[in-house]
Amino acid sequence: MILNLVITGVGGQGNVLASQILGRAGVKKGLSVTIGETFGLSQRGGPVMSHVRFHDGRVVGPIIPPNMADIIMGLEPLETLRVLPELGRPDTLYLVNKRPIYPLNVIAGDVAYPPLEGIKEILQENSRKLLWVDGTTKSMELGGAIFLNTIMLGALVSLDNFPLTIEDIEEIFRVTFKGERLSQNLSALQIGRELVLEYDQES
Amino acid sequence: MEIYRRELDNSKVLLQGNEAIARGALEANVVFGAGYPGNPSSEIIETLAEAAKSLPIYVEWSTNEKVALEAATAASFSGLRSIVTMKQNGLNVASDFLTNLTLSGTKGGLVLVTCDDPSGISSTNEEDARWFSRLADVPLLEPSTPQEALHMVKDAFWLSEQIQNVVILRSISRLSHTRADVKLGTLPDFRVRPYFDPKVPFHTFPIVPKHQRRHEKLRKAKEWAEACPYNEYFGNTEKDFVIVSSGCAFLYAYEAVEDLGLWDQVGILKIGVSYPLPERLILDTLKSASKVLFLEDVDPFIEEGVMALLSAHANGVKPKEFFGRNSSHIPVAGETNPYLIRRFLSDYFGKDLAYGEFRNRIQKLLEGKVPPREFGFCPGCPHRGTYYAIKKALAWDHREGFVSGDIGCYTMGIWPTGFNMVKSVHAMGSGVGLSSGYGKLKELGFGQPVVTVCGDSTFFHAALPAIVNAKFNNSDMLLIVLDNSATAMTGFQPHPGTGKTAMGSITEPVSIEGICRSMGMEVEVIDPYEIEESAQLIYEFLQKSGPRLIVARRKCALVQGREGGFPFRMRVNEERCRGEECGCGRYCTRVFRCPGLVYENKKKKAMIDEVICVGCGICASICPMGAVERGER
Amino acid sequence: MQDHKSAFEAIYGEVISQGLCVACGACVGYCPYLEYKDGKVVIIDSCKVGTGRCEAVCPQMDILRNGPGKAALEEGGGYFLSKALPKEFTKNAQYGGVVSAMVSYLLSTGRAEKAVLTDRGGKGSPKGVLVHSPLEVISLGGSRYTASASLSALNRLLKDGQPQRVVVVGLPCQMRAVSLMEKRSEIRSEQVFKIGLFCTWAMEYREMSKLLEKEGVLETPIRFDIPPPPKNIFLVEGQRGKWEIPLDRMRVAIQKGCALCPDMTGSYADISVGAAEGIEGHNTVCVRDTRGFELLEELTQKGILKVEALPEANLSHLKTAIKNKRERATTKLKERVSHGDI
Ligand SMILES: Cc1cc2nc3c(=O)[nH]c(=O)nc-3n(C[C@H](O)[C@H](O)[C@H](O)COP(=O)(O)OP(=O)(O)OC[C@H]3O[C@@H](n4cnc5c(N)ncnc54)[C@H](O)[C@@H]3O)c2cc1C
Repeated sequence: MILNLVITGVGGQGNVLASQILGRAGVKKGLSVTIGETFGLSQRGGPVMSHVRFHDGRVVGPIIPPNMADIIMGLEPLETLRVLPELGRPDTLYLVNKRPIYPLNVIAGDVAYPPLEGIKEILQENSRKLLWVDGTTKSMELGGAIFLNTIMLGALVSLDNFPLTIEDIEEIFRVTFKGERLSQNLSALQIGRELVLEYDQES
Repeated sequence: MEIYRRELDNSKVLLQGNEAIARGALEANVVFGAGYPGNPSSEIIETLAEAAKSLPIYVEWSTNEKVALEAATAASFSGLRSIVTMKQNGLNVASDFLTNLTLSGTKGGLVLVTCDDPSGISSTNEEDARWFSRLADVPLLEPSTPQEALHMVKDAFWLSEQIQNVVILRSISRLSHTRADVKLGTLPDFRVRPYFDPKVPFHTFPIVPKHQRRHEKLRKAKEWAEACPYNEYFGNTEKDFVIVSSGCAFLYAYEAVEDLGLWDQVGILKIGVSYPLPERLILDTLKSASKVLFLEDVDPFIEEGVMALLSAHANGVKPKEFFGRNSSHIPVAGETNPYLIRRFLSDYFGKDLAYGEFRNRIQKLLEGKVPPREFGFCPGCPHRGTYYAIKKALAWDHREGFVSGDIGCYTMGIWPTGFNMVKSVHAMGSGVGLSSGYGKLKELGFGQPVVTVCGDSTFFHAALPAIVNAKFNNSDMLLIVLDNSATAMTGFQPHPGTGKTAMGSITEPVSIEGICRSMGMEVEVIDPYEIEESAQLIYEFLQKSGPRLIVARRKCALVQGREGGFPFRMRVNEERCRGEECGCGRYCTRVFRCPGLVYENKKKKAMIDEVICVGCGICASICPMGAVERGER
Repeated sequence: MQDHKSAFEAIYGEVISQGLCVACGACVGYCPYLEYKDGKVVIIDSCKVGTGRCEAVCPQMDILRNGPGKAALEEGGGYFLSKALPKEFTKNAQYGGVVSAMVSYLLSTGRAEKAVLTDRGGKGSPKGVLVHSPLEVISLGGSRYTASASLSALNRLLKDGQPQRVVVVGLPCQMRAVSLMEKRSEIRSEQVFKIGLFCTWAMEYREMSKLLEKEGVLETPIRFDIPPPPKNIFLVEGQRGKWEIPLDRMRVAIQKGCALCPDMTGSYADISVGAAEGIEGHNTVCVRDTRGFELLEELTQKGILKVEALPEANLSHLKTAIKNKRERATTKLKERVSHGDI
């Protein structure tokens, strides 16, 4: 096994596209890839999760076995916290976009969204490392919430020892997007990369 | 993924399970594809339809699964290879034709793909469609990976032609939506000569001999199953504890045995042909086993097949202990998953589950702290407006009216996002059939009004016969067709009302109003964004009798988002917003529940979440103070 | 005592779901939870606000909790016989057009900017309207014998919080509701002129419509009347005819909640107006305060109203009617208490 990666978030955040891009880059690089996606009704604002597994061609299933995630990339804090007990382990690395998307039951006041600081603390204390970034703000600055997944991808592949590089992703982008979309997504990747570099400098 | 490009021949690409099925079909020289959208099956026809734009094949979205199977059968009868796709519920719809067709037999290879949805992740039920292979006496293949799916589809076509009958390929959500690297084969030239030989008719008579013949075909398939590579034993030679498993469960089992270091104690028999079972292989593998664990999705289908087989050969096999769904060692319902399997194996063999303590500690730590994420309509979704209008109309009407629902995004009307309006949901079109019945109960003293909702695609799929029934029997039925111009739930496939076919060609739209008007029904159209007017019209229609139709027409918000978006930039006028005070009590956020409109607890004011809000503007008419304002974009 | 319940739960549980609501409209139009539709105050959704005005301004709640309240006429008040002299006020009027005349006068002299009246209905039941021109006032003359929740129109004004001088025409329950609003300082007494209508009961719109349809009335009636006893009939007049329906056949349409109301003459109003039994084209007027007397005097001086003493026979009949209604309500209230309903 080379890497078990979980991408978690909310329907509409571009989770599935991000995992697909990673998968294609992986295959291009000669890796074996298995990606499991859970959506369904969930694409309507519910939780969406992808399990991305880079490996060496052995028999692997589309679900990462319990507590075997090496990296958990959270596009939304609550959804990251949700998968912690089932997939995380003490040496998991978390890359989390800290901007909440409030569930309807929270909006309605039926239940409370756990305090952000609390989520951060729990993740920090029960992981190898936590990168707690403000991807949404960067994305809005770039032109809308739709770039969040690419920004997070840029951050992800800039992590130490990640099996893919930013250039690998760029290569896939060049055959996926055209014109302005391409240049925006390329910038988004760089923004993500900077988030990680700055983060490491600060801490 | 443009899987139909010849440059990709023999290369390795990332394919989704459904894409692999489509590619396998293309490599098998399929020239006719038909299906009805339904998670998790939809991408197969979508992929083939895309391919049809540059390959000489025909692909369609049919009005329902039975019609899809019938249409594809025409190709088979004319000697061509055809594929039909559907989800588990779809096979129920198609089953009447299927059980007849398998008596008459087929000619060109005909493969029926059913994608089941264990745990009902995007379904109204949890159902194991594999039983249909036994009902119709046809072979059933179950792949585990996208790569295997590609190969199996090709073999399924071959087998179908060998036995001159339908072959079912069964996927599940987990496989259909798995992406993995797949080594492709080569695409054929798709040259075909369709010809129906009038000397060889296809019908079910005489029935008993045809039924007998069907079993002979099955026997032939069994011979093939014995030797085919999809059934395989992995592990030690003692074969004392054997896991019999299929589909994705096989993968989980394999990984679990590996990770728990159990290969010296456990062997795995992978089943790829689940019906008819490879008898000799099974008897051979299990004859000396003392324990057998079955892992499959969803029902104990292989489990019961194997048990029956072992009882028939009880003399020659060792007594066994069985673990599986029948013994409740595996829960009788729900998807099989790695945790379930590992927990059983680690308990049984006294092994520690890795990070078990971590898991327990964190689970305790988070208890009650992680609220569930309630399902909801998208921001801008017209269904929210329609249900709100229905809510008002029924409240005004004051006779304890309710909504009889159906399947689509609007099924979420059973939840707070649809104001819990919908009180029943079952099969496609059933809400309408139910309503044709409620509409006759008045004569028996029933005093409650019923609104029935159905989507535009559902209208054509299965609602039509129920509507005709209501007309025929003059039932007091109020039908609201939620026309968002797409099969939104499953990914925006076209349907007869959209004026476009699966392959993108233009066709004259079939008018929902036109159909109903021609039956003499009273018909009106409302705009779900105009809540008060819509509610008033629904209220007025509730007071009328006989079968009547309201079309609630607005484009799906996701489609509108792609096609230029919405006109407004919403804002909350904080001076006017009453927040929790009397006169409002957080009405917009508490009751209307749009994800784009949130509540600022500190300020005690509503607020637009700019990341989420699309700017449809409906909420402006909800606020009792007019505090939610429509600004320019 | 009711602390654990939200205001909404109280009004819903004790009044609306008990069938005691009389559709005065005091709780309608201010918030999104309660609406009036064709004779019924209906619930759109449930509200969780702890202390709310719906409970505080509900006249039925007031009776249930605080008893019958004010007497019909306190010291200093008086009963008169009156009618409007200009034809325009009497042509659409129920009887003497005194109400229309007073409202028109208050609007045209600027003493009121808006009047809360009841429209004629048509597509659906009659309901509250805000009117500012005397011409509109005249066009809305006559009595609709169904409750109209017309105070919803007043609430629309209050919601916007603008200080307004308004005149409110309404039934006794509505006069009680407005005085409860005054008590809560939602509106100052000097801002609102209250003109009450005498009332024994009002009907529920949907029930009445159903009955009328059965009686062959297939249009929106223009005029209703209940001539004085012993006639015991309900008169309906439309474009296409006149119907005399035995009153007993209409009684099932009477609002259940009216039985709880002790007030015949709108005791909380400045001036109340009713029929003058046996004296066609005239009204009985009951004046309760200085504002009332001043208005009556002014209108007499201007030659708009003719005012005389109420004949002794009328007065004694009226007093009996007032007494009967109060006694009936008091008994009903006691019944509810002994049944543990409240
Ligand atoms: C439901 C009802 C029951 C009544 N019962 C009696 C009774 O038992 N004995 C009695 O002496 N008089 C009763 N009246 C009063 C009577 O019918 C006349 O309204 C009153 O005498 C005034 O006459 P007018 O000619 O001055 O009225 P008009 O000048 O014609 O003015 C009538 C005014 O009443 C308002 N109005 C009409 N319908 C309603 C309604 N449903 N709710 C509130 N306001 C309304 C209109 O807006 C109009 O401004 C009742 C009135 C109503 C509406």
